[in-house]
Amino acid sequence: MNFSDLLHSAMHDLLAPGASLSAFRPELTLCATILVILLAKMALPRWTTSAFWLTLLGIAAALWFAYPWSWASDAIPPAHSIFTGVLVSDSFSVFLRLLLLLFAILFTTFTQVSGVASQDDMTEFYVLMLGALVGMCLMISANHILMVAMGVELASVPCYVLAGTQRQQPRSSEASLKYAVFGAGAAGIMLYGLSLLVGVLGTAHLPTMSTRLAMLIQSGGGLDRGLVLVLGGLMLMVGVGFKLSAFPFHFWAPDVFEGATAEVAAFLSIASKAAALGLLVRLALGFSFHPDPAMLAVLAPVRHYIVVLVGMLAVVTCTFGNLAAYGQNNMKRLLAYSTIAHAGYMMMPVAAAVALVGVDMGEARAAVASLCVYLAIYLFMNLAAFAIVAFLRNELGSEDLREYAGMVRRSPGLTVCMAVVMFSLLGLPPLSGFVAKWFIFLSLISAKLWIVLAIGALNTLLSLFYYLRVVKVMTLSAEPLHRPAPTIPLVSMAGSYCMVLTVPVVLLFFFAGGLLNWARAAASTLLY
Amino acid sequence: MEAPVLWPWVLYCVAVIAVAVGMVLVSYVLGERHRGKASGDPYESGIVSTGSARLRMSVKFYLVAVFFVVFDLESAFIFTWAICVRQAGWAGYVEILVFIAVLVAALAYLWREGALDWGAGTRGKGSGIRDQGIRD
Repeated sequence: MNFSDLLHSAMHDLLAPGASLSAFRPELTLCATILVILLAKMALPRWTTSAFWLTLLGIAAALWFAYPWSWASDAIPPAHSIFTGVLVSDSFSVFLRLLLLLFAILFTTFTQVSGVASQDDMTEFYVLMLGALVGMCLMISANHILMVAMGVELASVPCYVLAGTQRQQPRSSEASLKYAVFGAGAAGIMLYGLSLLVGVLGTAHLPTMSTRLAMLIQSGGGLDRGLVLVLGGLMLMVGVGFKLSAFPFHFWAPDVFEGATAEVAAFLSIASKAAALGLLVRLALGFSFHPDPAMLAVLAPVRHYIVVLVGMLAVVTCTFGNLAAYGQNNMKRLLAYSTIAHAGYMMMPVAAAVALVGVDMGEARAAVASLCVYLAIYLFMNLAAFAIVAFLRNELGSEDLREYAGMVRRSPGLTVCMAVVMFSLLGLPPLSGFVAKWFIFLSLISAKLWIVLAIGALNTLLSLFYYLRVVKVMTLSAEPLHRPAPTIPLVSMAGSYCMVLTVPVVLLFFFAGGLLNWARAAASTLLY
Repeated sequence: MEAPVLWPWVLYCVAVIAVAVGMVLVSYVLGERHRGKASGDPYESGIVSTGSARLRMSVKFYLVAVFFVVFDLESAFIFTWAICVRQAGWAGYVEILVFIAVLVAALAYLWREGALDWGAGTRGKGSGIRDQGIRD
């Protein structure tokens, strides 16, 4: 193939009807929105809320493009790779992208209700958010090592700046710097690991990498190459673990959450995590699966390695997050540790899915589906928790748990919302958090990962105390003497926003079947 | 699967550490010791150094450096298009137009925000890139 032919095929891949560009429309819409809001700030300086409305419009348009209108419920088109194989477009990426965009709409509204972005900073705030969102969309559909690296960077770098948006506060700048330094370190290690993997396997295209890996194992490869691959895998996990705030790489999370505003913390804890889990699924399944049954059997040691690595990290992360949350009085720190613990829960089905590849593909897809269900429910409950913290900060000027004492008398509605969210994060029926955990534990049972299951169940018990403590302080503790507890009626912007988020937390318990069908559809095109 | 031959690698590691430790150790043992007027000064090819090495640089320089990196990288993309203008045809032309339009929009935004102004700020009221901790 000469240069001209190569160029031609690339052009055709890009522009042909139904080819790459049309599958990439949601991301392109987000990019265009970034440009439009920057230009609007210059051209229409009088329209002070232009960034908010245009962002909302842009994300809504992206959501419209991202929704798979043409899919029949029983015939989901198979996965196809786009842009000459660097990205993959399948039901999993479509589902996660919809989830991210839905979150972006709720988040944009949230920032406006809580008033976090001042009029001067609003444009930059939304530009950075949209930039990170594009990076996250790339992460969840990555099919090539270069795209993994680029997606992670594009999603991370705007978040470093977002963490420092409160420029007047030294704590915010400190959080930003800590996050950037830690992120740079993690990215450096991940890139080194990726280069080791690519160097040994001779390709950066994920499906080809699994083929080469199987061939290497088949030919008896040599222990030295095996060592390099194991090392590369570990280093790759450092980068993904950083995005996930998994145990040994979680140090940034409490400090960054405490220094950044509650709004930005919500963005980091939900969108960033969803994207990281999507990437983890892509990488874990990418390395452990091959369409040819003979090759698939050869990859068994790789699967074993991934299951042990991810399962162990999940268990440790979960236990650490829950134990460290005990002593926290700052609500954002408490929620940061809660986020770490939930990252642990959400890594469990990934381990289960990899363990089931080669045993029962249907069950492996069900494990990924349970992750999708968890992510969808987690979106509402965690965003609601951070929203309540942000609204109370606006009233109290503090994020200390002890300041919430006696809230039930002044703001009963908001206290009920908080209690619902806390019980749901804990996983009590009849709230959707229970359903989420239930599906994850079911996937662990079918993967026969008994140790992970036992520790996961034990962790639910551990987390009981600190979630209940929040509710206890808000309801049973007496109001402080020096000032009345804050009054936020439900019939206000803030109150109704919390309602909008809390109602799905309850309703998704009763409509879990519908959500599960969606999630099954999302996982249905994986592993072919 | 045969065991890999590890001893050359171990030998290499030992040799590296031995050389590094040896250089420091030998110069510590054999080196001259004298304290003259200028023995603590950094060696600057014979020129007497002035002032401290810990200068506080204006952050503006970093901003310019960042702009240079960004726009330099982007011109590299334009070069790659330029060497295959004919083969890329009109589709390639449209693509590079879109690319350059995005660049121009970014440049216009930076200009408007005052990021390109070197002196004290004349535009804006305390927002934007210009006054993020820039002190001379």
